[in-house]
Amino acid sequence: MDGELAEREAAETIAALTSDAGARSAWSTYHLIGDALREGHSVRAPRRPAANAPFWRVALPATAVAAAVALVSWVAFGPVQQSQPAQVAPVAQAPATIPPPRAANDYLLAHQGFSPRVALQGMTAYVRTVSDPAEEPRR
Amino acid sequence: MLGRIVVAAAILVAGAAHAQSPETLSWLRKMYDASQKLSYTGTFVYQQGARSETSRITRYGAGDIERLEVLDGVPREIVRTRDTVRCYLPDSKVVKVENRAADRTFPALLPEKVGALAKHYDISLGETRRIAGFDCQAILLTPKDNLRYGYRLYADAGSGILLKAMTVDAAGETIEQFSFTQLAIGNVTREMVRPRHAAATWRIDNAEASPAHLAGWGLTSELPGFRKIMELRRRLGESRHAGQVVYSDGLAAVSVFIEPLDGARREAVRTGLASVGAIHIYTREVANHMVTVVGEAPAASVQRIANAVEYRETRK
Repeated sequence: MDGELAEREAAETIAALTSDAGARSAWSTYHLIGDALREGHSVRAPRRPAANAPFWRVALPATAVAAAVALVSWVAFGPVQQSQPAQVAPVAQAPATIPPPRAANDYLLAHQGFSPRVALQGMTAYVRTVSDPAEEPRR
Repeated sequence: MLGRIVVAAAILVAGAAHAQSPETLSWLRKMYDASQKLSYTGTFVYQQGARSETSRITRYGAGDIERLEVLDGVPREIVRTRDTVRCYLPDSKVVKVENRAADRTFPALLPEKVGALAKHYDISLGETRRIAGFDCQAILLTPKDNLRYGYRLYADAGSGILLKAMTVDAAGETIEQFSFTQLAIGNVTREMVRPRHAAATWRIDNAEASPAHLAGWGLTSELPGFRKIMELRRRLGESRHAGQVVYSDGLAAVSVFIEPLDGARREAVRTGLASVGAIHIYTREVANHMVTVVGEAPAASVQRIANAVEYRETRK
């Protein structure tokens, strides 16, 4: 966070911090704003995969294959089948949790301008769009 | 039995009256006016999960210009004028430009629409509390279902400026928080909202967003309370063409981004859910396009919208 870690190391450290209660508490102690601590509000850690980056490099090809299969079935059967339940993933099914896309900040910036919340909150909400860890380390 | 019904009815009536109370609605209006008219400069902390980031925000009321500078790490900066939002990213030497023409005509932003929020949220006044030296009033927006988050807002009793905003999930946990640690109202000059980065040689990524009809694209079913409020064509990042459809319940918004996939990009599609603070991002592939749904709503809501995205071939 202070620029001494390479981006990737920083991301992995953050992932470790969010999955390790002890480390997280130490992190909080050092870095959370005293105001929030005094008030006793616990801010929930983001839901990140407990696994680190290499896991996703292993899991990705499988996802890509699944996506390709889905694509082939769409091409083969066309949009007429789209209304059939089989084409729609059930809502109750827990989705795969993935790190934010590399272009997450592009999406956030594009989205932010249309959020009515900005009308109440002013520009503070925009800070998300330039936030550091939203981006994956560049390769 | 009858007694219970009467009590229940009384509670319902009281609840409804409370939600519509002119006092609570006038607080929302006061906050909106403050965010549109006043000049101020202050330091605030954005806190999400285990991390926090400090920024300075300056608003020049006379020119309707705001400048936000991140004080931790790389000095990223955002300057918002009447027409544009410019993001200065010194590490990549990029200026991202978003046109504001579209959002300024956005109906849900009009103060008259604030009352419509009461359909999906119970709006009530909470405690008073001192924040960064200001006596603040808490305004609570409690969702009536689990499709949206709740908000706990603290506004300065005098000016209406929002000093603190917390996003709360169904379990009552704070998932994201903005909080001023210092604020000075007034005495802002035009000079104070100029970008500090010259950026003359930087790459400019202009979104070039304009309202459009995205033929064939829609939702098989809408999420209760979320209505389509905007549909446009734009660029994302360096030059990717994308469609964007925005749905909102008047407070929370969800964007659906639709990008054509070519051979190289297909490799990059990762189906699944990611989160950044109170924002969830769900990516999937639909009809040879990458669909990315981004919203400040619970994961299930974002995923429901994503799974409802469909393409129907339009007949010519």
